[in-house]
Amino acid sequence: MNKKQKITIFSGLISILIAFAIWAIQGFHLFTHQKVEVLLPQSDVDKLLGQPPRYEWVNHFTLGLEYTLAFAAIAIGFSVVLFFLFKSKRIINQ
Amino acid sequence: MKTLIKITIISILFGYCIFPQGTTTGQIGFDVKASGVQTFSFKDAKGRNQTTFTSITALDEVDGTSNDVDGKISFDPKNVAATLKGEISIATASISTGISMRDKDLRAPKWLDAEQFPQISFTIKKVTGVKKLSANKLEVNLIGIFFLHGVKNEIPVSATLTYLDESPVTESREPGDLLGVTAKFQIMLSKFGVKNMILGSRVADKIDIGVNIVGTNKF
Repeated sequence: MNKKQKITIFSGLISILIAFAIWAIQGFHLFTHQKVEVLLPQSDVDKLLGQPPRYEWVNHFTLGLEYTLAFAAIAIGFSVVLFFLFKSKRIINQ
Repeated sequence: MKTLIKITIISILFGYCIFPQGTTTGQIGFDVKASGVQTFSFKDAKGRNQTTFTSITALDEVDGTSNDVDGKISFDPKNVAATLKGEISIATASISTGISMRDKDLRAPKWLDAEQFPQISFTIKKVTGVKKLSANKLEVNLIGIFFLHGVKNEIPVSATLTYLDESPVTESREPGDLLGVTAKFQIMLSKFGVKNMILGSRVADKIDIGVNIVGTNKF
């Protein structure tokens, strides 16, 4: 394994780890969300009526497992291709 | 005289046995200024009325909302049990779950089929009980017809109605007397002809529905 191949494997692993870390930090969601629910402040009338707070959807990207796995698969594929490309180059250079 | 007293006592005992714990379908209503049948509209141009639904499975929790609520409820404030009727509906295409692809799937023929069935509605059929919680708040138990995906089923619903007389405070929301309605109930999707393969794994068959709406009698 030459230096370029090692860098390829290392970069691939790091990018996959970062993707999974982002997914974990954002709440281990199974599916990617483009919006999240936020509670709206209650008006005085709503309080008088005893109505519960309402929700509103706001734009907020939350990474899901499906996109994380897809990214990991692409990263692995890309790393494998580069690994063999760098291997071939080494043989030619020799 | 003795007979009259006996009849009175027996009537009171009979009434108590039939309607225990303060729940009754007799003449019970709000202590408010309005009299006669009042009709409340829940069409809010500002989209403040909301229905929610939740599906919980081992794999996923799906929360959805719709702010496109329409419908009318009418009743005599002095005798709600005998006079309550109406229908509340939402636009099927207005349901939002926070994932645009999922919203698109929900509207598709294999799920709720928004094109063929543009409305989801609940029509009051019968009032089975009314409990007075305070002067302007009632808890009502209803049987109604829930219409979804072209299928009608009877379901029980427990709702809380709160009546506010028109005042400078209520005018900040809408003119007229206001009626707040909150309700929570459940439906089974499979009973409404939704039999998708994903049902049970990604989406629960049992859906919890919440209603949080305010209507006005000046519309």
